[in-house]
Formats: sequence, C-alpha cells, structure tokens
Amino acid sequence: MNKNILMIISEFFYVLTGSLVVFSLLEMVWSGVVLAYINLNWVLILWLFAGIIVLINPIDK
Amino acid sequence: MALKIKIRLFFWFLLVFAVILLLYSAVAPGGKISYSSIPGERNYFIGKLSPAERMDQGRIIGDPVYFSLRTPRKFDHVRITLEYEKSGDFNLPIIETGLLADNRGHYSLKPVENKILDDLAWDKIAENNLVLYQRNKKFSSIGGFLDDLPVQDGIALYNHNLDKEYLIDSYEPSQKKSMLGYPLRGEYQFFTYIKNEDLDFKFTVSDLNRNKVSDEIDLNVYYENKPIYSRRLEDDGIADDSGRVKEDRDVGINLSNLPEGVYKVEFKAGDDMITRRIETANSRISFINKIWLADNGKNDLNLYTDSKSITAQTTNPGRLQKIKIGDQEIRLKNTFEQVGVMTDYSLKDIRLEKDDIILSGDGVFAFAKGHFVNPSFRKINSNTEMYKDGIDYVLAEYKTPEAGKKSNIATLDFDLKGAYRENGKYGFLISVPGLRVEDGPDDGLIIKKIEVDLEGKDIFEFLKKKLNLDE
Repeated sequence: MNKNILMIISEFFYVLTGSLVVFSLLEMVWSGVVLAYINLNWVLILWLFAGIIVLINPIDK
Repeated sequence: MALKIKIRLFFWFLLVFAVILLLYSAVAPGGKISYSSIPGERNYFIGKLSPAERMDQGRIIGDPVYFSLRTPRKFDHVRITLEYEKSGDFNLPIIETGLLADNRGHYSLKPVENKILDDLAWDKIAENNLVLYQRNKKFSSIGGFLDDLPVQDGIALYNHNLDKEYLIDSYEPSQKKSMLGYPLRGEYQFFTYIKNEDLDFKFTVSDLNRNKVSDEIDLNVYYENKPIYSRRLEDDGIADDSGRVKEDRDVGINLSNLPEGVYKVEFKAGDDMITRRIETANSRISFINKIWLADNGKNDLNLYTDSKSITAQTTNPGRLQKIKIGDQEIRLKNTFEQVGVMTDYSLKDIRLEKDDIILSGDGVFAFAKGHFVNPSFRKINSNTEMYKDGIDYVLAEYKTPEAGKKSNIATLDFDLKGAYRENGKYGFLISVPGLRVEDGPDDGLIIKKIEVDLEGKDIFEFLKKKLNLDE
C-alpha cells in the first residue's frame, strides 16, 4: 500500500483511539452528550479497521 | 515528516472541534435549541409515540399516547409544533397535548384542535390569546364581558380559568363536627365553603403499602386559584410492597380568619393511601371530578353529582355491579373497564350496590345534597352540546390550527419551570378523548412531524445567577 496512505491511516488510527477515550469520558461525565450525535459503535468499527490495516502493513521507519 | 505533522495536526484539530461542538450543543450557551422528529424515525431527543397497542402503522388509534423529550439540560419554556393528519373516519372534536407536571401522572393540557369551537357559527371576539364566542352578540369586547358577567350556567370555558366570587346567600355555618360518609382511596380534591368559621378538616389515614414507593401526603388549600396553605405528611416508614399496615395517623388543617367563600382542598397521595375518616365542622364538601370509594365491605351506597358525563370503574373482581345514575343504569362487567353514561348537568343521585368503585365526571360528587357546592364554570369537552346545555357564551384560550392541504399545524407553548423531569427527559402526551382501540383502526391520527423549540437561561444569565448566589 502507498506509504502516504498508510501514514494517513496510521494517524487516523491514533486520533480514533483518542476519540474513543475522550468520547467515553465525556459520556461518563455527561450522559448523552456524545451519543445524541455520534454513534460510538461506528467509531469503534472504524478504529478496528484502521488498526487491522496498520498491523498488516507496518510502516517502515 | 512535515506532511505527517500536518496530517496529525489536522486530525487532532478535527477531534477538538468535534468535542467543542458537542459541548456547545449540550450547554446551549445562547439559551435556545431546537429539535425535530418525524415519528417512526429514530430520534435521540424526541422519543417514539407509545404504547404500541395504541399505534397502528404510525397512526394513533387509542387515547392517550405518550412521548418523551430528552434535553441535555433544563430549560424554561418549550414551543411544540405539531403537524398532524386525520385518517379514515376520524371525527372526534378535541385533540390536546399535555406536559407531565409531577411524578403522580398529572399532565397540564393545552389544545391542539377543538372542532366544537372551530365550527361554532357564533359572534367571535379575539383579544391577545383569548377568544369570546357569543350565541347572540351582547358584548363588544372581552373586557366588557368580564366586567358584567352573565349568569354562570350560560358560560363555558375552554383552556382558561375565570375567577368569580361565589357566595351562598342562605349559608349558615354548622355548629358541630361531623364525619364524612365513607373511606376513600388515593388522591382527591374537594370544594368547601366557609363563612365566619375556621376551615377545619382532620383526615385519618392509613397506608396499605402494596406498592414499592414511599407514600407521602401533600395537603394544599387554594382560595381563588391561589395556594394559601400547604402541608406534607411523610411516609409511615414502610416504603416497600410488604402490605404491612401501621396504625392510622391523623393529619389536619385548621385555618382561621379566612374570608367567606369557596376553598379548594387538595389531598395528593398515591393509591396506597386510604382516608378512613374525614372529620370536619364545615358542612359543604364536594369532590371534584373523581372519587374512589375504598373497599370497606359495604353495600348500598348513595352519592350525588351534577356531572353530565359519568364513568365508573372497579379494580376489584368482587365489586362488579349495576349502578343507577338518575334514571339510567350502567353495568360493570369487567375489572379495569370504564363504563360511562351521558346525562345532564342537573343534580342527580348515584346508587351503588357495592363499594371499591372509582367514579369520574365533569362535575362534583357529594355524599348528601346538603354538602353540594360547585363554583366552577362549565368546561368545553368532547361531550359538550352547546344548545342542549344552555351555553350562550364561551371564553377560550385557543388558536385554531393552521390548515394545510392534507395536514394541520398547531403550535403550543408550555412552561417548563417546575415541570417534572426524570433522567433528563420531560414527558408529554397526545390526547384524543373518545379515540378507542376497541373501535378498530379505521379512524386515527397521524403525527407527521414534531418540532420542539426550547428556551432557557443563556450562559450570561447562568453565570450571573451563580455569582449572585456566591456573593
């Protein structure tokens, strides 16, 4: 896979990890603030896909 | 490397922006937020119409149905815009929407549509939110009508309260205390009348503890629709459904130096509460709209009512019976089934074979003719017959809905301050009196869209309030 695309997916994976943590914490503090607008299931699925692609195609440093 | 940093910054900026947007939507710093829903589609804020037994393929076929409004914080005011369409044989005259006012299931209703008023070919005067309908035009303004009110029996109200002094010329206070006729169950309200005497009631109560809730009693007294006294009796200490019954307790009201007139007493309690006795020196006591005669094993009971539309129901299979209302008769054949009869507004007797009956009506109920007092103006409801009921004037707080090609649009305003909110949700209902599931799905009401505009404190008002509290 193209190195730049892999790099974008890798960064996307990191920000999705951050999103899951931030959104989960927000939901714990203020129930409904995220779920009203964002389905966290889809965020989780995207995070899984991105993670799998990153694992299969490690970027050479 | 530069590209990697740029992409990283871009993605993290998107996340921060998303978090700010989410917090902004939740806080609503401007004090306003709107939601919109098409029933049947998934919506986080406006719940679906329920129960399912009263819905048929998106149509309301039974009365009432409920929906919830989830909000991220409290608001002060809501404007609900309802777009609806009548389907099939729908010809019921009244549609209303209500806001859940407390945790005892009371709703504050507002009119969506009233065909009785819309079809009334009477003279009409509209001023601000009020409309005066006159069978024969006598008044040229609502102010003129209010300054020179006609005979009370000829006036009907809709979604409006009218304060008029109600004095009984021939009234003489009783010199001795008496016990009220019968044990009652649950909550009730009654009118009483006093003149140069104390407002004096002692309620002897007992908690059945059959429900898993604590059973407080709230006693409120109103004069000219304004609360003048309030008292709470806490639960007996048993908040489970064990059925254990403690000894009876007394709770009383004794108010002196009150002006002559009618007072409303409100006994707010759950269905676990039995009022075994009411001891009073006040001779007039008439129960408003509903009374539940408790199970006391007694037969052959008499009451009086001026209600036109009367329904009866029992939850006790041992209390199915025949009930005589004036010269008419109804039979309770099934528990939980409401059976009704239409009469007129004259005072008539009700003869019950057995107790443990819930009686409901659009007037008052009394245990003796001498107890009767009803200062209320007649209210327009789905059973109103203008000419037969002798109504010459209607004063209403009502706006005819906008008629579209196939659907109508009604706008209603509710005050949310003090409304009941649980788990971040306000409760609403849509009521169509007379719409019954048992009549079949041929007639129904389709709610095409619900729009909600909420208004509350903005961030500056909120901070100002906080700072004032802190100083």
